[in-house]
Amino acid sequence: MRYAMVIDLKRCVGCHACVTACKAVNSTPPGDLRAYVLRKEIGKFPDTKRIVLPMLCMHCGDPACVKVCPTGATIKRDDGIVCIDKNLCIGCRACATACPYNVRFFIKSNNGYYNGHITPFEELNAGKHSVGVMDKCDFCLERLEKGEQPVCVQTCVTKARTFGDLDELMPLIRSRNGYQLRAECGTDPSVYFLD
Amino acid sequence: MANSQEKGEEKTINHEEEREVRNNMANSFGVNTKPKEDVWIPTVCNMCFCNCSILVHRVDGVITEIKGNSESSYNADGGICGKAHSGIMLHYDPNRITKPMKRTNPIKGIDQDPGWVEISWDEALDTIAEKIKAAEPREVATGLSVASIIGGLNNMAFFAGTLHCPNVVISDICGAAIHLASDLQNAAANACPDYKYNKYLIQFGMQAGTATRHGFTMIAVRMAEARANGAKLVAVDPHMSASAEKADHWLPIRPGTDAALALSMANVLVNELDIYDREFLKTRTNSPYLINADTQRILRDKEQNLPLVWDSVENCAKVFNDPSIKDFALLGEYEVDGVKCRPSFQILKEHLKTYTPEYAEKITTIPAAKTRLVAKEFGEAACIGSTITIDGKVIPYRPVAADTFSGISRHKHALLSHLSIFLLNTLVGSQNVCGGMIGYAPRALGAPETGALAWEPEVNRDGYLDYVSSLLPGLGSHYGKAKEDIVGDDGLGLMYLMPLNKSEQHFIYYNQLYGEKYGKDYKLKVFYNYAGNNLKNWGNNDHMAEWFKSIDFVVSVDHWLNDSSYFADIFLPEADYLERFDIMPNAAMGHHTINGMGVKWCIAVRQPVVPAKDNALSATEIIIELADRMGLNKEFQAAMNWSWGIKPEYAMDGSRKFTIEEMYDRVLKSICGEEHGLDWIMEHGVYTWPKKVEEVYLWPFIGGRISVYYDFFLDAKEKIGSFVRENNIPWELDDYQPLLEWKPCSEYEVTIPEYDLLPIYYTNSVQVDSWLIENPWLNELNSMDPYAFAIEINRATAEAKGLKDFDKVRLETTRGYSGEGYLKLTEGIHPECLGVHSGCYNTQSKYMPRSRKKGFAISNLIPVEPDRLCHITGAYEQCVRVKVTKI
Repeated sequence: MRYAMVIDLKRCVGCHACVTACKAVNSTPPGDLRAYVLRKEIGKFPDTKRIVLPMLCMHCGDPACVKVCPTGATIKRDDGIVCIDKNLCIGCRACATACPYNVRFFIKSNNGYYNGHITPFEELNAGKHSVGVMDKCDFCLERLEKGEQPVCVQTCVTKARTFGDLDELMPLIRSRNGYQLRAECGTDPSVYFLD
Repeated sequence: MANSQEKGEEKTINHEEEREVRNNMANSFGVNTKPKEDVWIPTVCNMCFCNCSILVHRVDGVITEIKGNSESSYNADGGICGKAHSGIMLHYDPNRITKPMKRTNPIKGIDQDPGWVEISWDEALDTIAEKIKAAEPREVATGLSVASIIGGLNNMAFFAGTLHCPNVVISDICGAAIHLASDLQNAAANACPDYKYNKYLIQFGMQAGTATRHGFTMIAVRMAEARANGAKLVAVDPHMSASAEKADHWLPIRPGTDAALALSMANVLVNELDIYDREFLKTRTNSPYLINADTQRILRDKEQNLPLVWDSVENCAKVFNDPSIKDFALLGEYEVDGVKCRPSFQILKEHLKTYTPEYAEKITTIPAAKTRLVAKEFGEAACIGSTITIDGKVIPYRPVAADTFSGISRHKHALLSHLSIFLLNTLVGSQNVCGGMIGYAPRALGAPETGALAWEPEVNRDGYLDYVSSLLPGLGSHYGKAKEDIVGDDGLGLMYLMPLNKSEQHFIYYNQLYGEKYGKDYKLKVFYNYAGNNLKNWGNNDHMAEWFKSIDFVVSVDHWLNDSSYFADIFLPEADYLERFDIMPNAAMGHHTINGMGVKWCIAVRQPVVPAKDNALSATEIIIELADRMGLNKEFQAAMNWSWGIKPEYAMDGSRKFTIEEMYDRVLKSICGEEHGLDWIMEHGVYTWPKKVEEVYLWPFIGGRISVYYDFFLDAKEKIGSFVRENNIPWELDDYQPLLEWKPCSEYEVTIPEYDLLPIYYTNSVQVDSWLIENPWLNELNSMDPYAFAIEINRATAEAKGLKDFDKVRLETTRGYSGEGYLKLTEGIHPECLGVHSGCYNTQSKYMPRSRKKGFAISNLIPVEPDRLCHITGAYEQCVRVKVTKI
């Protein structure tokens, strides 16, 4: 069993629903975006293309972050999910440097989204995040334990995301020539993209 | 510890145990307590006008999550957009106003501190009621934002139905010309491709399903499925839009020239490729109607005054619906009773010859080869002649559509442009059939238990598809309105001169200040502005400031003190959408809801998830209170009874004030049946019933013809023309023309060389207005978007002018309107354009700290003048040439 995600870029319109859904479910502090969407322009007018790339932790099979963590805070679970034990993390940011995907965030402060005015929503979720440690996507572990899908998968308005056991997703990945981002880094991501 | 308990020894706690507990406590604030309450409440989003059905998670009174309600039609099978998730932050925004206020500084201006002081709801409502009573009905206007249409509907029931106020001010543009065009072609105010079956879609000036449009999430999921299954998308847009990102072809067109492109594609289909649907043109359009060569009008028989056609087998003229007709002539020249005439299709075919792709290229800048390629792909994908069987019914199958929306409606000649685009569908027979363009809800056979919400278009005497519905059933016949006598009305919007204009009274923005030009001898004294930010959302901000200042008493109903609020005398805070009831937030399901097989009819409830902060009222409750204070319960309730189709047994008799819950319950029982009132729907969220194939596709079931030659426009032209000549009113009639044509928009030509660029604006899926920038989650996305608040400029254009990324620049129009911003160079915009997000940013209000002074307001550059308005539909020309100067 290895959890994995397939993102169909033919479907994805880069609408950011995954980003704000993640914000709400994980109540991440300002600047901490477990999910985000990148855009890049290529080509010369009028043969221009704008490339859309939704990002999240790749939950690598051989994660660079785990190797460099000095305290053992970042671990790879048996089900393939890479997660952080916040009690062990000392916020040294070695993992963020080692990660080829720029999907780990250091929580500098948690002053809320309204400059110190903490909303009831933020207050209720305050215990989820500690200042001075790292944060990242955990495939919505809490939701998985309740039998639900990661929220970015559930809410995607184009149904671009498929989540499940890598073995079961492999036929889809192969049929569409799916690929891992920056495969040359050798970390064997569990997130695959389809063009 | 376990051991000590087993042994029954006295329990002692040592330091290590205490430390362990502390270690656990240290990260447990707020998470280790089991919630007393943990519920999901079904309601309806309001982060844009799409009004998707949502479930809101409430834990111990706190809203913690919002997700799509998959029981409903109104979302992406349970998926919702980025804005919808962010509603939590709107609700908890500390800058949201929740108590009524009045200004204490009588001097109004964006640079004046209004001196707001809090007042009671009683004082606020009593003052407003007195001001309205003291004015004549025509001096009172209600205002609404298109984005908040539901509160707007109840406002209109009060102001128009109860107070008989003729003036309704829309702060932004609605669809304008598109609604008329869709009515005429698809028998509904909005139309959409039949996404489930569509295989080839050309989008003109729109991003349906990739970023925007009524029913965005509903479209997004269907379009993505279609794309994954090989459907092709073509984006016609000067800007690299979200649709262009996904498109197989991006056609970066010069703004305001879409009609030329569409007509040249039509020319390729008809005159080069010989691809057109003869069967459809003969039986479902007025293509065979004979046109009198002298009058340019339809030739009619003398006895019945009905349109004549030419039977090409019997070689004689017959009335169009004569059952003996063997075949309809589409081409040729004939003579009937000595009158020379031709079928309208023959005239159209010849007319189109002007629009060669090479001719159009000079206008549009789209290479002729590209035009030919897209036209060919479109025509070949249309599968002319094929059928499909759905639910046992044989339906014509034409899986192509040319769609058009907002970008086109921002031009003066929008009506001709929209109709030119829709002509592509008509030529290949993809109107009102499977896979083509279909109205949002052209036909409704009624709710299963009550038969309520039933309407359908009818075929009128001349054979046209007519009597169409919209937001509410029953808007009537455009063909009839074109002929009806003009009755002079008192409205500053001059709607009496615009019989085909559905709602856009934008002449008010001119006539309030300069009404004498159109014979108006009064001004608005009271403006009840619901959710509108007219100052930013219309034209030149200085003009709009003068407009506001000329109104004695302005009420602003909103969540924030925006720029327009600086001109308000009283500010009423509306409860937010998570705190209030709204009656029928999806209206009569015909406006924000796409059509198609599998899209259930759906009544969804908007109900409070949490109590309103400071007991703020909803827009409807405010109106209920005003009606009661003015002694108008009977009149208002009668208007509500009519608006929402409340059945006689549930009708409100005006004997007392009714609460919104009582009104809502009566509306629901009238539609969904006695068992499905408010209590039921609050628990279940939605009441649905399946859509029938007969409700989706009109061609096989209703029939009726649509126009390729707009003969009836000449009825309106004749009637209005004689009226304005008699009354000496300066009025434009040119666009009432039977043949479609491209006409240059205002400032199409470069007249002064350095004023060479055209600013355009666009939206994305998370930011459409300044109040959404106030939302910190959405605004965080702007920080990742280099274009969010910049002025986009084509790289080559910038380099030719010696301009670089992040240069600060001033944009200035020939009349001296100007604004400042910074540049971002891109290959994703037409070389003659400047691109700005949303076009109405650069908020000045100090009460909106996050959006303040961010972005650029194109609206400020556009003159508020009648010659920029479509005199048929109220569309507003927004092309204005600017000079860009580095500062």
